[in-house]
Amino acid sequence: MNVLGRIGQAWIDKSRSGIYAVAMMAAAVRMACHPRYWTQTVRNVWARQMLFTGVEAIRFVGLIAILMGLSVVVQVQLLLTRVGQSEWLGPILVAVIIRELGPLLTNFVVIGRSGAAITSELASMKVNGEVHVLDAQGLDPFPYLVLPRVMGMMGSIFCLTVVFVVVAFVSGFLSGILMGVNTGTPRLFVNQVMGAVQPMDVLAFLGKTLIPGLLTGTICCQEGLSVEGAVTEVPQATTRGLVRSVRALFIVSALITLLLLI
Amino acid sequence: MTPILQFEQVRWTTDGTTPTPEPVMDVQLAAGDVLGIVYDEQDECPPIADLTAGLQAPVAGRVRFAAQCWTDRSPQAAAAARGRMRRIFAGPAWVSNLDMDENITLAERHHTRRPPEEIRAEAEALARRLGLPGLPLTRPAWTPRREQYLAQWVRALLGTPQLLLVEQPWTDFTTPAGQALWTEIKAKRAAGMAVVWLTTDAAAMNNDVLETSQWGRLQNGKWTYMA
Repeated sequence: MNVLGRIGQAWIDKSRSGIYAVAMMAAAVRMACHPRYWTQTVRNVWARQMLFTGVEAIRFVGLIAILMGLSVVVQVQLLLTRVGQSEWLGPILVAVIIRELGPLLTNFVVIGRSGAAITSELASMKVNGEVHVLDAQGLDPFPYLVLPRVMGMMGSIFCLTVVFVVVAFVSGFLSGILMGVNTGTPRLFVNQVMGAVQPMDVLAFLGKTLIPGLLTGTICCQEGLSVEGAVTEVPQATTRGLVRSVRALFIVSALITLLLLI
Repeated sequence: MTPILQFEQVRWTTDGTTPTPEPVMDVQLAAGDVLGIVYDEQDECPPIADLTAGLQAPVAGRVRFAAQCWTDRSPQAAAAARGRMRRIFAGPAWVSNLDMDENITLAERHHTRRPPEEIRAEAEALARRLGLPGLPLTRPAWTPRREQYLAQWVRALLGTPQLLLVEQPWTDFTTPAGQALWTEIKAKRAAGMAVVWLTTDAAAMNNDVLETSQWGRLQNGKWTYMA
């Protein structure tokens, strides 16, 4: 095949994979709306996914949020006080923490921590014939394996981002007091931030947590289940899952920002 | 009476390319019947269980379960139909990230609305009758092979299955566990469960205990009715 042919083939393969991921995501959302798919066993898998992706990641996300509050929130307070523009504290913190950094960093943590785990787990299951075992018992791998993982990822990312935002603001406020940057009361700080939140910010927050969550879950499941039979494919699938999830995260994040700016 | 399982002029492939030669498999199994299939020891277990469960499509012919062809079922209906089957796997049999007790009760919890405690109690009692000290609680990787095999039977006989596919047959029915097992299988057969028994041991087909309704031999991919 000539060079142009190879480029074309690679482009077609990538497009096909993307379309397949979108179709899987749509199928997962459609299934999630039907209570009949939420059998007791599926609910169990979902609960475990929420526990692993959401609850067990709180400490790590909390630590990053504390550090982010220390560096970003304090810096913003310091700079705005210096230039005498304290009234911009709320809008800037909302734009930086709620709209951009919170969702982005939380998604990063979840992709690295749980996305890789999902891909390698499903790939290993496929290689070891466990997906066949489930299928033979009438447990369709899509509702049993994919649906709870995708919904677990989505729910966890949303909840973790809420935790991230709250912890970052609290840490930023407290360290501001300790460093003598912040002289206002907690009520004033909360009022400044909450007063700056616009409906578009809420939309951006929802879009940047729920959509990447759905995409990450779907991509990681797709890559995990795409493994055919060799153990050596497992790390390759995991790497592909991570790279595609990060790419999807940045594209979605940028698109939402652009859409809301227009 | 509607047959539980029908193979109509079925041909398949084991390597994905070469179809089985003629004559093709043509069998019918009613509720409570036992179909024995003897295959050569040097061959791999034929994909009869996957064909029966609609997990492998035949290259020719039709496989019907409960009077309906697998190709006529939606994915949801096919999964629900497979939920009425049980299987003693020759290969991998467990989901490694679930404990053995969760694995054993998984299909029954998924397909029925029975309370989990009730399913667990039935599995526990069945396990004790088959000679296990109780339901194994460890991960499959930490469970001894013999316990795993007995646990496969506990899972297979849980609830009210319509069809049991045995790829790894029990060989000695003279032991207390073997006798207990056959009592359980007999009770399920009386309730309407059909059995497909795959074995390399032709002598087992004439065994009074197995009570095969019909049996045949698969040799070089050819199916021959023996009785």
